[in-house]
Amino acid sequence: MTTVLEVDRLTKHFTFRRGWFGGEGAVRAVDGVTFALDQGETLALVGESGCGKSTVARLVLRLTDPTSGTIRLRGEDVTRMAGEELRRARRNVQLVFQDPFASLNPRMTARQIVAEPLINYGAVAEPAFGRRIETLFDCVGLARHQWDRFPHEFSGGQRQRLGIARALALNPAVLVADEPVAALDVSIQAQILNLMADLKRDLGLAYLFISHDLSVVEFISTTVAVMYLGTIVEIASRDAFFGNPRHPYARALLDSVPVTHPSRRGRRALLQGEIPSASALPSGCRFRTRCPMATAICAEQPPPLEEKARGHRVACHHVERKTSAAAVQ
Amino acid sequence: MSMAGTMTDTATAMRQRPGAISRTGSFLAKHPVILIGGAVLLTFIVIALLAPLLLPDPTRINPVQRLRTPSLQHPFGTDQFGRSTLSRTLNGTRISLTVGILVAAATTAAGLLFGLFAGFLRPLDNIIMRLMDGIMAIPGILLAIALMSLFGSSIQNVVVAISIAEIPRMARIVRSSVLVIREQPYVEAAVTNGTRLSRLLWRHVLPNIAAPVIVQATYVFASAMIVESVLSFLGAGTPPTIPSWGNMLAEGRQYLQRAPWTIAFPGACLALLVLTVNVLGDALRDALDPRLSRSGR
Amino acid sequence: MQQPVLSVERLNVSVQTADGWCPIVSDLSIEVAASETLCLVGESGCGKSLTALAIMRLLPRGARIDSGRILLGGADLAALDEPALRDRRGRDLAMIFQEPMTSLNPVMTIGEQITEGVQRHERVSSAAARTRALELFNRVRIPDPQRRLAAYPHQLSGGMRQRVMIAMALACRPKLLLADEPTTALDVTIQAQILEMMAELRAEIGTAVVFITHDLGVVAEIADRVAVLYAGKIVEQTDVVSLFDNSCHPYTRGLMRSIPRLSRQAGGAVVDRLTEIKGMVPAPTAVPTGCAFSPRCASATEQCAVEPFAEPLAPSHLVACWHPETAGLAAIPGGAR
Repeated sequence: MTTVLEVDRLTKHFTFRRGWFGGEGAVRAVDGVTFALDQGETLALVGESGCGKSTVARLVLRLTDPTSGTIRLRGEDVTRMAGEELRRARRNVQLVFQDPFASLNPRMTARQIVAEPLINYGAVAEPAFGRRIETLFDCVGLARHQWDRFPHEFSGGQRQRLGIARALALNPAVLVADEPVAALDVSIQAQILNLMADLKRDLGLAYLFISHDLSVVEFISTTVAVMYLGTIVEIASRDAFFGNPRHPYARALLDSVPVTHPSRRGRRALLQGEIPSASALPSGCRFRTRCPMATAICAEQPPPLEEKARGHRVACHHVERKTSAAAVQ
Repeated sequence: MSMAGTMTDTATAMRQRPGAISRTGSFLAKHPVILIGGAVLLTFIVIALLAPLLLPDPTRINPVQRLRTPSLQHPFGTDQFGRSTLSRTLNGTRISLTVGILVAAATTAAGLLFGLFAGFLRPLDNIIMRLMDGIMAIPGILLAIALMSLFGSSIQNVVVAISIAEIPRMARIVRSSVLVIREQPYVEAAVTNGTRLSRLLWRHVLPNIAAPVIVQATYVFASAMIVESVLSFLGAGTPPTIPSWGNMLAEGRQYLQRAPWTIAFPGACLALLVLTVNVLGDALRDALDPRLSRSGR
Repeated sequence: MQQPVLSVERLNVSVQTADGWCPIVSDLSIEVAASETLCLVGESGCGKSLTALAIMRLLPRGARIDSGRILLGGADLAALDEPALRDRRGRDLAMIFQEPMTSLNPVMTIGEQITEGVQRHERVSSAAARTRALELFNRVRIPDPQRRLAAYPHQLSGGMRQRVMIAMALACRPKLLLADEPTTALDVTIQAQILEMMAELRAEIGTAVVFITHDLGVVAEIADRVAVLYAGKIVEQTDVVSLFDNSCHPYTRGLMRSIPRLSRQAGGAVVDRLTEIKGMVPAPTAVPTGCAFSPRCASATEQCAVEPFAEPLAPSHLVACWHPETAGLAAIPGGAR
């Protein structure tokens, strides 16, 4: 299995001034995130708003510059690339947006939109060019009579198909999908999720899938990373994670997912309080202010992201204790 | 309302895409103001082109026929030198239109250049925009008069002087539109697709700021024609030998009581032309704004 | 069922388009009793939000009620004039929205807004109104309520703002609360908190709730009864348990199958493929004749070219379909077609 994307201790701090005469403050949007993505895998980044998952996506795409850390695309360090070099490297990683309409130029037709990446890189020469576009439209299920339409003439689901076709045009190694179904109607979500699953299988893609919806994540992912306030608190294979989530935040997140049947109402412990501001982080473990298991050590030392079981890494001082307690019961 | 938006979107989607000509036709049918305004403007342009061919020389002096009232022989009467007011008025159309169009074109070109640089290259933003603020701080007419006295009187210099006064407003509009567009996801999409800066500006930014720029250009067009007349009226514009409306108003002023027609006709033409272009600009703004129009896109 | 608090009878709402008035909500009839939550479920453009705005008589310009009655506490809201409505809004019925920021005044403190709301309908002193506000903030579990009363809306998080909205809506103990996707913009952990709190408050105050959502998970959490809307019509209406156990309309069943579910909740392994509903939601200007769902429906026949009417397939289980999937229902005498 080849690793197509490696992110090592990636950090992004946004600085701001507190008023006219105040000192500088920093929002630690992403703070030391490390993961690797193999070909054919889907790594889901899960978390609530403000956890930094979308910033990770923008960093990986180099739409914003990291404060520190490295990003390797197919073994190549792209962290400090700029200009033409960066442009060449970018064809290996493409993006599918949350809001398909806003991500399509309103004054270009579907065909022009899909053709643009090919033109930018001179990727395909003339006779094959038309065939390539045809293949792309076929891949995402857009019919021939729709090719010359403008984005506002499509429905939400079709626009997302168009966005996916554009992202696939350059045969990227990694597809970053930032909440690709969050803006779609319920009955359309299934269509797009199935399409993405099919494409991954047929084209051997790797997805970095950003989502807040754990049910969607369980369907699409092979690996799950849960983020809280800029750091990964738990990362494991899908089955290990959903079978036995270990971090108290991950458990709470799963417990907060609405039930699938009215008879299951109310069987859970809800998380109290709200996410603290990323510009005034708690000391030690960032989750301790909402954590039911927090003790003195949590305020003193940030827990490292450690392997607590095979391939199951968790950043929590109390995970061992919890598992052994469970074993005794 | 968002729901109405979705509805019309799909309604358009279901209609067949018509050809360019019939599309223009149905666009004009939906916007009668643009149709009428366009027709009036076109008439002025045709007059401007044909006037020198069909009418007597507007500078030919005929002292015998001084200050004649309008008649069959002189439909608009004559001025104090016996020159045909009709011929002078219609030939004056050419001066006004030329100045208006050239100023609009120069302002748009320079405004786009400055606005795009300021909006896309952050370090240049402060330099360019403070320069623009400096120009805007001086009243446009004063600036134009000052520049005219510096350059000397000629049509080219009138165009340059008015353009300099109008560019900052255009640059501001371009810059603020660019700042909105560059944050759009489709611009980010283009960047991740490897679009080079030149193509990014040409395919993604320019078409999407076209509407406000076109509308501002029509306002500049109208205002340039007025400023030209004012400059000529004050004697700081078109050389007095050229029959521009401003020069006619300046010369006729002394004979206002005895020969009002020497002022009435050029004045009415100026008012009508400026009104037409302004109305056209307003109608274009409504038609090109997707929030106000359903067929503008 | 006890006497309904709200009873909407054959409500028709339309909006103005380039081609004239287009019906959005057709012949919608619902009833809600005290302490009961009715969920209106549907996808974008199905008319669920306009229904709520019509009941509040807050339809935006370009939308109108064509016909129908909205009975609340003996009065027909559809027939009242604006002063009478203003008197009732906030006192008899209140509404909360998806984005609380749009309905809070950004230049007034939270406290000023909430006491103003109380004093508009009740003759109480400012101090009493303030005490009431504090009490409400405690009720909706806003921590540190004293300080929060002096805060401006932008100083609060999304979850806090929604709590404030709920507090304001319930300030005068209205008979009816309309909630339009109140948790959609919130994170799941906050959504769970708000839903739990709303359920408790509803039981305590006895308010009838019309809860609008697109999320079947939220329905499972909060509804007593459910009305499923498709293209402006109620296609199925029943109590929440039979909706999840025995939904009969092909659209409802399709929705149930198409949403991904957590394996730990649904039981069994993770599915490889989701069941899709083919096609897309029709635009309100292009709703198919007959049964609006028929072009997307697997069991559609020629009969579906005629519009089906809502029929009870079981006591208080209405379905508008010629071919309902009744496998889960016990045979009802006289219920066969």
